[in-house]
Amino acid sequence: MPIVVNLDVMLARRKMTLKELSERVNITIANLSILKTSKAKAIRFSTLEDICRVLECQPGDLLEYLPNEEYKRLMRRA
Amino acid sequence: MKNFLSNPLAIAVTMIVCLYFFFMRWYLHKADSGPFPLSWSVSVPADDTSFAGIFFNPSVNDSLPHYQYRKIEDSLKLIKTKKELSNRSLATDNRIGFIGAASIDEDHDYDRSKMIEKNPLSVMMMDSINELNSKLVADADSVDLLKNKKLMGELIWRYKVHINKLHDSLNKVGNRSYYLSLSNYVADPETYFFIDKGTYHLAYVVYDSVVKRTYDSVKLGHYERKEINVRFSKEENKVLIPVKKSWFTFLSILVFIFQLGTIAALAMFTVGLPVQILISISKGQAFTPKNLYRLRAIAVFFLVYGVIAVTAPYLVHFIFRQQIPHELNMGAGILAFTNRLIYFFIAAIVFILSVAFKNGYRLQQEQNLII
Repeated sequence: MPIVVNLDVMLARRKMTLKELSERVNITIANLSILKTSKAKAIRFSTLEDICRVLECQPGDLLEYLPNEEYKRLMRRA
Repeated sequence: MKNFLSNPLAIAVTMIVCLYFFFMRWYLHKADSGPFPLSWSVSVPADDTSFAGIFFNPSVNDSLPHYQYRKIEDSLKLIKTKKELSNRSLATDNRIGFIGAASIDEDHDYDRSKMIEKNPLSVMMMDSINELNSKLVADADSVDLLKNKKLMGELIWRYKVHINKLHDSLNKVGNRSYYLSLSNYVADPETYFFIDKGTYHLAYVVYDSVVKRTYDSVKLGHYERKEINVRFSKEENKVLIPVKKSWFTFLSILVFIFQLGTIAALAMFTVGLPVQILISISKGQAFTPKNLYRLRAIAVFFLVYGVIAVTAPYLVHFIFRQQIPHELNMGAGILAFTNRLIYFFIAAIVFILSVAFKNGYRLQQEQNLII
């Protein structure tokens, strides 16, 4: 799916670990990990709201659209 | 009405089932063809030697005194009964479905002296039981209830011992013949099986002509006989193919193994696996790969069971077609198929359920990936 979640970028900027974020937004580490690796099929607005509130950012900072070719290149590199 | 009509597939399936129902009604009740009802008349041999005396039915002179008439009538009945007993093919049978291993005790002699010669102990037991019974009846008016109870108890104990001994003796001694038994075979009501000088025969009708009368027609025929290789039990609708004792033992063991296997499989697929599915659903794990596998396994089992139940009798008949005469038919084929339809129906229902569970599993996986 060409929507990339830049959660690890935002966590690095805010100097926060995944575990801390998980405790503050009340989502399991496993689910955050799925989100981080762009394997999630969808995200609820409530979840997006909680993450943006904790990381003090906009949804656009977390979600980025990539064209198909670029997305495939990125996934291959990962 | 609109909601009802929005299920075209369900309506189509219902109509097919109804058509099948009407077809079966027509098939089972179809009359003889032709505008006139048909009856038949078959001439029966008059003498008592042809066809091993199965048509032996002499009449007694009415003018005789009553006691003589009864004596002759009873003797004739005894002769007829003995002939019928000698042609009977009631077998001790151990089978799985339509196929089994059967044995018949060929000694039809109920002469007391011969019974004593063969089973002296059982005859002695029987005599002591009869003596005890007559004592009990004689003492029935006495007040001594305790003595009667003791006699009753001893009678019952001796009876049980006698029965066990009789079973043992029947299995050890006696002239037994062994067969492979195939069930669900029928013959025309006018076809008779008989044994003549140790060989098996069929008496069947050959129709010679049809005479049309004003309101009906009559088929005229006569009996003919032919020697066959198998024994036929009209009472139990079974064909019995003679086998050696060693084959009989092997078949008995095989039948036992298949019986055990069938019971185990039925227990597993009708009780075990469904209970397992229900337990996992109760734990909130309905749409799992394991449940999918279980449902598919149940569907495949019933499909295979239905196919085997329908085709196996025909396959076995094909294997033994040279030995089984064409006068002996395999029951009502289409009825046998109809009786087995339930297995295919269950297989279809469970398969549809497995498809629903598969889609449920897919939706659940997608739901799990929604954060």
